[in-house]
Order: sequence, then structure tokens, then C-alpha cells
Amino acid sequence: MIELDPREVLRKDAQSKDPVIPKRLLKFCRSRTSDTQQAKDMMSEAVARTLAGEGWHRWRYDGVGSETESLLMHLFNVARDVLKKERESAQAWREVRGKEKDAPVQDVTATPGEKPVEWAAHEDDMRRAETVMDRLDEEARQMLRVESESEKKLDAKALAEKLGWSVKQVYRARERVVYHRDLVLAAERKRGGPGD
Amino acid sequence: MTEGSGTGGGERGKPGEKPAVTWGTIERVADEAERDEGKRLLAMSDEELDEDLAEDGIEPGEALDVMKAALAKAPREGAQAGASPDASASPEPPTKVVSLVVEREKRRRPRAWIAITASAAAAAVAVAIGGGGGGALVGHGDTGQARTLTPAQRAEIVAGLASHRGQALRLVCAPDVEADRFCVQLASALTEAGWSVERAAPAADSEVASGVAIAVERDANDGSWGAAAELGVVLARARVEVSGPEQAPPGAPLTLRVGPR
Repeated sequence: MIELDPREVLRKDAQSKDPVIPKRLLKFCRSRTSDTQQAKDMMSEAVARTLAGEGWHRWRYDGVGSETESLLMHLFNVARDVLKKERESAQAWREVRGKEKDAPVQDVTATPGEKPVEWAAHEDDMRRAETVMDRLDEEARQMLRVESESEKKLDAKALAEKLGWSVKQVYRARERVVYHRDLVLAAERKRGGPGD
Repeated sequence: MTEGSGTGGGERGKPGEKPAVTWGTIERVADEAERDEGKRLLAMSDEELDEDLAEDGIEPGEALDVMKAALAKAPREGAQAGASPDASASPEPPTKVVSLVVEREKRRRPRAWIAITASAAAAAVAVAIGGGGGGALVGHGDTGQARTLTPAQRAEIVAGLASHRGQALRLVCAPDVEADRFCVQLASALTEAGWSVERAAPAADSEVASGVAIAVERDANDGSWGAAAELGVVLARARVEVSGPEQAPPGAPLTLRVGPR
């Protein structure tokens, strides 16, 4: 591990002709948030935490790839953490998407103890899947159905061909799956459920 | 983020009855998407990124503005600052601080989306900006000398602010011969950098405080905050003593106030 000052790496990158980090980091944050301002706040916070360098937020260059790429990957991880913490806050929860959409996932299962444990776990999974599917758009649902029916793992290109889409559409649909999967898990964490 | 209202989910059932799409499939697809995302983003060209960001309503320069603002407000780490080429090249101590984070924090507070960690905010109240420009520190202390920009300082300001070409700036100058002359020099450099500078007289019933200060409206957009941050960094690097941002009145553009020495 090599101790480098992330400020210097960020500053040099920002001053270069084609900066690597800013657009990629903002794009990453945007795919996980519901609007542009939240994405910018998330990006700023990830940079601030990395520069503050407390705990695992401290970046250490492992010598693999370029310094810039290594720092970018680290910033992605910190940004994920920023979002996770934010979603655990009940106050923030209300602001991210609005009360109606982000109301905690309704527990429609029977009272705990009425069913065998494995049955309850199965129902939990069913409920989560149903909630995610309800929140997704038809395009993403279609992609998941194809993924589900496929006997082998499909990469983005193969999936795009199968659906008659562009590869970009596949990536976008996957981003939405990640987004809603994370929302459902965050709701469970908030309720004290497994969620992780 | 697109939302759907249809069903399409799994139907409820007993163990053994599978919904159309299981939670396992969703987890697998989401995990794979997360794993591949870093590599995919790295592989994207600048044009592809611009196109993607534009679909989300993000202009090409916005990401860089956010990054510059984040860098400007971050605390400078003592241990690592010594490794900075700029810091080591500078023969002088850092110039005056630019406390962008304080105003930024105030601006964010109503949203209450992400709280800046207490430690980061406390440490970031003062952001010392090391400079490599060398030369005299303009406006530093009461030297009795008129403030003036050397050709090198002027060139540094022009080059440093050119990335914010088109940025509107209101320049408020104290009714003072020395301040006015310095204002003219700053206006000239900023205009050459492509900034849209509008000189404004101070309010009749107010005095312009001494020194040079930046003011930004509390709810200004990130572009203005990024430009304000860059202005502070560039002036400090050019050895011009500058403070701020102060809070500008609602609706006011980014403002640079030049008071008496």
C-alpha cells in the first residue's frame, strides 16, 4: 500500500485535459439517486469523506492500475456507504422519494410464529421480489423476466440482443434494479429486518 | 429514475411455488450490475459520459464544478499537504482562508439530505489554499502600498478562471482611488478570462468593508458555487488576499467585493 494524498490526485485529474473522475463519479451517484441534486450532494460527500480520511474512508493506493482509477474505485465504495447511511435515516428517507413511494414495505405476512421458519423466509423473499417488481418500470421487469427464464448467465450484449435493445438500455435497466433493490433492503433495515 | 405501476411481480404462494421473478434473480442481477459498473464507467469515453449525463439533465461541466467545489471546501491535511508539489514550491505561507464549506453547509441544511460529518465540517471551517505563484501577497497586512497585480499574477488569474468562461460576476468597488484602481485591474483580468463582469456601485447608505471578499447567494446553483470556489482558489494562488464567501442577497449573482486596503 502506498500513501498518496488524494487531494493531489483529484486536483491533478481535475486540471487535466480529460479528467477521469468527476463525470464517472457523478454518473455513478446519479444512477443511485432520484435526482441530480442528490447525486451532486452524494458525490461531494464521498469526496469530503475520502479527503477527511477517517477509518476505511482513507484511500491507500494498492499499486494496481493507475492512481486515478484506484481512487475512483475507492470513491465509488465511499459513495455507496454515503447512500446507505443516508437511507438509514428516517428523515432523509422521506426526502429522497416522497412519502408515498418510500413508505416502508408493508408487512403482509402472517404473524411471526404462525408458520414454519423456512416458509416465513420464503414469504419474505416473495414479498421483496414483488415490491421491487411493483416499483420497476415495464422495461426493467421484462429484462428480469428474461434473466429469470434464461438457463445460462447472459451478459449485457446477449441480453440486449435477446430483448432487441441497445446495450445501454440494458445497463440503464440494471441500474434501476439496483436502485429499487437497495430501497427495499433499506426499508427492511429501517424496520429492523435483515436487510443486509 | 423510472417508476412503474404495474404488477409483474411474483404471485404469493407457498414454498415451492415460484413467482415470475424471484428475489434471487433480482439479487443476482443487481450484484452483477454493481460489480461491472466500475469497469464499465472506466471504459466509457468522454462523449459517452456526456451523452449519459445529458439524459439525466446534467451539463458537461457540472461534474467538474462539483469536484472543484468539494476540493475547495475540504480540509487540507497537514501530513499530506507537504507532499503537494504546489505547497513545496511555494516560498510563502498559505494565504487567507476561503470558508466555502460553512455557507455550503448552511445552504444544505434545509434539505437535510446528507449531514456533513461533524469532524469534517469542523476541520473544514478554514480551508488554507497553498499557492505556487510566488511574489508579493497582494493586500496582506497594512503595508501602505497600493494593491496591484503583476503581469504574472494577472496571467495566473486569466488562465485559472478560463474554465468558467461566461460566468456572471458583480464587482462592487469601494469609492476609493486605490480600491478603484485595483478593481479595474481585477475586472480586466476576469474579463480576459471570459467572465461577464458587471461593475456595481455600493449601496449609497453602506460602506464597503476592507479587503477583497467573495459573496454567493445561499441557494445559488452548483455552477456558481463551483465558480466561487475556483475564484477563491485562483486569487489565493495568485497571491491576492481574499476571504469569503459572504452571503449575497437573494437573486444576486456571484459577487466580488473590493474594499479599501
